[in-house]
Amino acid sequence: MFSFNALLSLASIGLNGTNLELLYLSVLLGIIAIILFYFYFRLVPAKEYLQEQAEDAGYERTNEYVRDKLSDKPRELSWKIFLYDDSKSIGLRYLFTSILFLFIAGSFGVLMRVSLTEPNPTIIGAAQYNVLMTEHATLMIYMFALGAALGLGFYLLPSHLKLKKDTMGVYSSIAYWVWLAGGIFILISRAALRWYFYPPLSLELTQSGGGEFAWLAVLGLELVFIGLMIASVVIIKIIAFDRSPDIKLNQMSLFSWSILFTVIMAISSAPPLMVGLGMLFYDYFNPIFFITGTNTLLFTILFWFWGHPIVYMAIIPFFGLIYEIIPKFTGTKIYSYNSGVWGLGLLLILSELVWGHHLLNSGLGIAWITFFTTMSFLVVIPSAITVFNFIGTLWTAKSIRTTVPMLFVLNGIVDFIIGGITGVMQSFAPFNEQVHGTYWVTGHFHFIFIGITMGISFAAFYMLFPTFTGGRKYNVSLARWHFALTAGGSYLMAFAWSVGGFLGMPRAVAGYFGFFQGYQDASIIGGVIIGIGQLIFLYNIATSWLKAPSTSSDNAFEEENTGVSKTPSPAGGK
Amino acid sequence: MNDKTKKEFIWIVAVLVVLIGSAIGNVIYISMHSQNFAQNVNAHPTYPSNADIVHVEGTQWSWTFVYSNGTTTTNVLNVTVGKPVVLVVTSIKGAEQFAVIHDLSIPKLAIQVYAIPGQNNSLSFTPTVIGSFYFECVEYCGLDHYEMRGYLNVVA
Amino acid sequence: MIMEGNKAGVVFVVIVLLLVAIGLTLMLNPPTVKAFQLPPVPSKNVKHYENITIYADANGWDYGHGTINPTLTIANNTVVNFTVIEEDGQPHTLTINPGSSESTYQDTLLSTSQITTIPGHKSYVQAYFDTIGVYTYWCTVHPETMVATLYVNATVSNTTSGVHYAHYANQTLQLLKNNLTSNGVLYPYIALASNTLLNLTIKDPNSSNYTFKINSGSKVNATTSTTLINETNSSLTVSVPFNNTGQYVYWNSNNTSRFGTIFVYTALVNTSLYADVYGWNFSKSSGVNPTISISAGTLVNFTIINEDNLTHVLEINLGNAENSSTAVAVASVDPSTNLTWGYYLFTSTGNYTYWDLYHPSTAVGIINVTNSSSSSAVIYIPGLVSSQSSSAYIPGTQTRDELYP
Repeated sequence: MFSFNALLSLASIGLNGTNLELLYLSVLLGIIAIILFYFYFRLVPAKEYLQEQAEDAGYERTNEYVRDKLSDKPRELSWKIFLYDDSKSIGLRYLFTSILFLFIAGSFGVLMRVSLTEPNPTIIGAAQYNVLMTEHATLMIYMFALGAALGLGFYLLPSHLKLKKDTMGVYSSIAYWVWLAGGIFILISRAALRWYFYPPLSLELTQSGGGEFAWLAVLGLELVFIGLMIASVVIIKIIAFDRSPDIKLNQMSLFSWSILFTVIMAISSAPPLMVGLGMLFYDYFNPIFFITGTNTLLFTILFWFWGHPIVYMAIIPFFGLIYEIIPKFTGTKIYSYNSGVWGLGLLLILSELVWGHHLLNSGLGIAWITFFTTMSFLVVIPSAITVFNFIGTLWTAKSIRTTVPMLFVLNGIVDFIIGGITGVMQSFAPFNEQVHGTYWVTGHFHFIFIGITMGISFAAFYMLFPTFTGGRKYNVSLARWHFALTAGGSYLMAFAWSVGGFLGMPRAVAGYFGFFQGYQDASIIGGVIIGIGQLIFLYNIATSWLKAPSTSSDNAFEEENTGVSKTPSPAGGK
Repeated sequence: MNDKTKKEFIWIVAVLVVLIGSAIGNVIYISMHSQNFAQNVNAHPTYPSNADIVHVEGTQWSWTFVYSNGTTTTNVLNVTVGKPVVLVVTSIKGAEQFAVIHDLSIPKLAIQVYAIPGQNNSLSFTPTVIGSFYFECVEYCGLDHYEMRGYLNVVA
Repeated sequence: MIMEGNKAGVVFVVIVLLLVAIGLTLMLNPPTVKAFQLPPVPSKNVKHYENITIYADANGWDYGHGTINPTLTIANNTVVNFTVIEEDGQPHTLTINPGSSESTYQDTLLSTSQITTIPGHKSYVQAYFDTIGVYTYWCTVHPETMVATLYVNATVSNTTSGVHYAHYANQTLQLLKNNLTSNGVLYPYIALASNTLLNLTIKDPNSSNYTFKINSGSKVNATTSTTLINETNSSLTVSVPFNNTGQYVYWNSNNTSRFGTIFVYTALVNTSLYADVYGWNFSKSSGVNPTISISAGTLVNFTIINEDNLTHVLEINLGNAENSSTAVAVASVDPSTNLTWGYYLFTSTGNYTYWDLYHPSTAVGIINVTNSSSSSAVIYIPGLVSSQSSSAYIPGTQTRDELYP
């Protein structure tokens, strides 16, 4: 661990002035680039050889030759998805990486909860708490929520759009690796500046400021953005140009629409913050941009111009998935396709116009407060349309089969209604002044993120589990326990936060006034329950995968996987 | 207009009515209580002329209150009941490298204002109840952020 | 194709749990180096006040006002009132860090917002220095041009600039507590030319608490000592200027019975003495018990060569006759060691007596210390150091412990 810190220190000596070390750093990077080029040119003849082989075998495209002759079919899910550049493999990469980061960042969250058993920091110090808080938020948003959205997009879009070909798999692959590198940078930076990265705090490269390697988190975030931009462009290209001519735009699945809106939001709101992060990084060498006055507020504006759309980007793809999952288990069509598309589309537009409500109390003026609170009311309209569309579908359904994915969906809708109401309440300027910066806000978005982002990710994972494991079924009763603990724990935790926050319990603190103890204790219990639920999930996928694939024709979501087929089939016999 | 579309139309209208009504109420409240919201002093907000002006300096990690008679308190704000108070809030450099953003929040009085380095934000409020109310920094400001808290004492 | 059970899920779960554990370990060990910070100005015990006015210009501190990037020298425990005057309308900072070059381990006394870009604007800041050493003051916006040195000396200097150190000695001291391993020489002698800035890097392999103290004289004296380092870090560097000729001892407060010696000399002489029961240099053509002439402030490195395989101890005392009460044992040889080194610093003028503890009647001679530089001994010239003494660290020197078991 210590040598690791020393390595980072070596990289950081270039900052704050002395240019000689920067020179060493660039020489080092140059050498690494030369090594990579060497490997690249080693690959070129191999690729040409493969091409010749394909041509000899009568194939026009090398990829098809590899697919037909060299790949095992059916392909077991393995680490090789990290080498294949097809859309499905890239989707699985994103999906499994995002689950990995969900557990990493989730463990930080549980530890944070547990550390608040006493009003003053006892189990871990304030410094560690601040690091955990920063990493939990940053990794959950950029690595889990975005990763799961992109992963499900890459994995499902080819099927939804009857994709003929995706010629930009290499770019998607690069996007994945850049995004992953960014996440690792953020993780090892152990920055303590919240996911806001507000300067001048983020310019204080000390543990009592933004963390000694806060600059690494800035670099990592920039990398995440670069990866996200590349992936977004590829996804837009897949949807716009690669989809089958049979699928008209107005027949496209709602999930495809939701992914399209998500990536459009990413491309339209990330660039200002990417520029802002560049300026922030320059400030480490020469602090001129964000040190004082309105310049300090400028970064907060650049940040929230991105920071508010990202929270919608973390739910819109999952709304799309809800639209896909509900018909599967109710046997009805979505109540209104048109209001589904329009709801998501309006959400895209209006959610780009509400970011200022994060800065209502920062002295930007009465006009600012008036505009952004009004817009915050209006952004609820498309959300309400979407929720009513869900409810309408469920209402008109003949029967609702409460499989595990459906349980997550139902719970997600309830969570979103609660989180939405606690959210719209904050649009009242005087109420905002009371609860801004308190656990009320934390409760509000944890209702939505646990219910929608995390819950629907699990729903999709459970639905896809038989697909990408080659026909294996998960243990339904364990999965129900997973659902029950996740949902129950999140209600307990987020309600305790909301009530405490209403009374003024501040968030993002390592210690608190003793009279908030009860709310903190309740949320600790809730957080630990959620953590236990996720362990059940891990146990479930490990043991279910160890069994042989089911060959029964029974429904994969409602039957136990006993590993023995009930109806002997020619393939699975004896 | 078939049955389905009619139902959709009804719920959209219902949502619009509720939300636009709330938004209008919110705008009216803001226009009537603009002195209760944080504003940059450069915008010359108007405040009651008999108000006590208290300068608030947020630093890593304490709040300092400088009263008009020159006295200073740290992490304790003393005000008189019924008398309007104007808080002029800014952030100054402490022992650390820079002055950073803080946020003074008094939840029981619904008072909240950012402390921005190099900028003075102000708001006014009139305490109506005698008692002691906690306040906190609610914008994360570094290591001992959680210790940046104290009590507002309203005395007769 | 029949597929059997697959361990992919188990592998993934193991990876998840492993990375969760790594992640938690990483998070609970955030980098803990705190930023350098000058101490706050104390309310009392300030010994000196100094007013320093510098002009901030992108071409260099004080550009157009005499010496560019002036070297500042102050005494320890001084409060410095810095006045920085903006010259060129560009942003500047006043940043100070310990060490002879810029580093991120720094304290920005005046930031770009405090030194405004209005030419002629004066910004003020107070800084208190309570640690002896060399500091660098610079501007983070113009680190190439606006960088200069600030010395904090142990004693009051009557001039605020212009002290130049002839030598920069880089030393690594192995400081060990308790009984020691054989690794390296313990408490080595350090021989320095006067006006040398000694950059000491202290390494304490045990990472234990220690206090590195120093006092003048040849014995540990806690009342006159100065604390150089009082730290728990495993590696620390301190820069100590040695200006005046003399003898110092350095020691660790945990064990005052053990100490090392620092000699600060104006000249360094190497002399060989052949120990013989009939007298020093008995068999040599230069004559028995030669009279040695040197100038005051000379450090003599005596090399004792055993001629007769008996035990000899070289003792030196001030005066014309042997005086066992004031004599100091410099070096000793015995039947098993034929050759050793020892140092003696001759600080005052007059006659010293050198003699053999075991053969005082035969082996006794005079060392004549004069003020003039015309003595017959080779005068050490700064900058032209002979090969043996070029390093201030003398490898192979006997430790104080071995001399006094």
